[in-house]
Amino acid sequence: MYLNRIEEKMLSGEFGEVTKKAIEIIVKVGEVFGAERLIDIAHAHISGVSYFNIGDEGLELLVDLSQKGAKTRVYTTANPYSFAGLSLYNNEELNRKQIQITEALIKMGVDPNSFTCIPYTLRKPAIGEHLAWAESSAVIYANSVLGAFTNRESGITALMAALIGKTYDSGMHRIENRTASEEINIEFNINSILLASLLGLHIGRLTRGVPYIKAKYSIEKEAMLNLLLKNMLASIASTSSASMAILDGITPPNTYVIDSSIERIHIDEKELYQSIDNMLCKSDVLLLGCPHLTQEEMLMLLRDEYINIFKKHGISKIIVTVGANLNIRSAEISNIINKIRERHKINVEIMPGSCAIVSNLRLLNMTSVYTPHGKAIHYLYNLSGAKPCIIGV
Amino acid sequence: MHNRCIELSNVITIGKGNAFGKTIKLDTLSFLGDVDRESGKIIAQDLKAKGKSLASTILVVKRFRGSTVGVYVLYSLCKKGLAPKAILMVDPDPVVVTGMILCNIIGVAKLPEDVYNTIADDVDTEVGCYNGTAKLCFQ
Repeated sequence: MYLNRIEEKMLSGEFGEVTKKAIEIIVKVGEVFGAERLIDIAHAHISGVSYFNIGDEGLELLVDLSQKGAKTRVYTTANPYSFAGLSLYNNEELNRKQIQITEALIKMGVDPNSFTCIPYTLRKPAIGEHLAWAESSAVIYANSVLGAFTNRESGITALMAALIGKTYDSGMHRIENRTASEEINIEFNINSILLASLLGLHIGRLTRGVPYIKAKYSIEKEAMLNLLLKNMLASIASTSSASMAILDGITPPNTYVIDSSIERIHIDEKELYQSIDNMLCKSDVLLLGCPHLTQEEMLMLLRDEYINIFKKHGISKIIVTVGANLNIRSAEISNIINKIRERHKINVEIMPGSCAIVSNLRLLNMTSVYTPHGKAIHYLYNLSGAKPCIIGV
Repeated sequence: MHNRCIELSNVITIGKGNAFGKTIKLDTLSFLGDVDRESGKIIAQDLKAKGKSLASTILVVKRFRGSTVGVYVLYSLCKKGLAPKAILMVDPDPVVVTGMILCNIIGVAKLPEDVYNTIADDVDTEVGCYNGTAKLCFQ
């Protein structure tokens, strides 16, 4: 791999031990993927923040790096933490270890207002900009909707890339790899989060790389289109390693290639409902916000038309996960929460900076939860211990 | 004694050296969600290898899937001595490759699919990797 003068100095240790280790890892991974050089990145996004996922070994790695003076060289955001970060568990050690992880990340330079899986709402990448993002749902959104260029980095390479401000030039950073692997024609209108999710989970199982998706979306307003896309893409990235989908009419031009000779696949709505029998369960808790909701999206889903659906399902508590930057004490939000509690007897609990699927929900006495989100449907049981029950929203 | 060996040249190898273990062959796997971080056992409902431990195996996977946090799970497993000895994959996956580099796990990042198809599950296997060449011997 060709390295410039600065990169050579980083590799020889002139910028310190941490930088040397960081560039070593990026160069080694880059060599495996045939990269001939490193490229500058504008924004790094780190995954692997929940103590439940990374454990004591991950915690030690992050604390060790921060104590050795590791500092990010570009704008860096991080994924949400587990509910232990909000001290929700009756286990002080657990809560403390989660907080140690976030403190180590902030000390290294991570934006303390991030802790979200939708980092593009904090800094929207430009078309063609190079990023080093982990978090599969954010990666696929950045490449497919925003036209930015990022690989699906591992939690650790995203951090190493942040520490040197660079990543390896291969995969999704090169236009020739952003080529459709098959054309997928959707034979029905995508009109709900659940439908977008089930479709995404299905596409993830059949794509061979970069699906080119031709679909119609039924939407009343722009925020709903974004929710549908976000959920479809996050679901694709749950059941596959796809880091990009080419969305007809949405993916910015000149950021992808479509050859005329690709295989064409048609998806009928019925196919999506073939494997949902074990998800037709009941719960009194609803989970919203996987991926995180923006304030506008949250307020849209807390409107009466949706609350009435939730009531019919016997839901008495709604957990909403959002980014750490959302002001949950604003008058607008407080008024809506109070109104829903008084009028509908439903408690809305907003959890900033956190994520339910990377939290142990069984320890919080939740054995099942309703959710319309495909990513949550895919991961909930194995990661949180709670059974996902689907709800048509 | 080996019954059969395959030599691969011009492949992308990770690390150098030899490893010996039983194969676990899977179409897909995510280290996060499909593998228990404490025991190293496969917990995914939809995988036929559910309940098997990855410790000291030769893990053969066509395509890894899902979370980018998988690297930490692999890192945790190797710190506990529960990681596979070698990993062979058809589609190279940056999440898994990073974990292999951190943990000094050897393997092949772009195993030809016809070779993948000839590898059997649960067979004693020796893997040798050296600078773009790999040798797989099965008992």
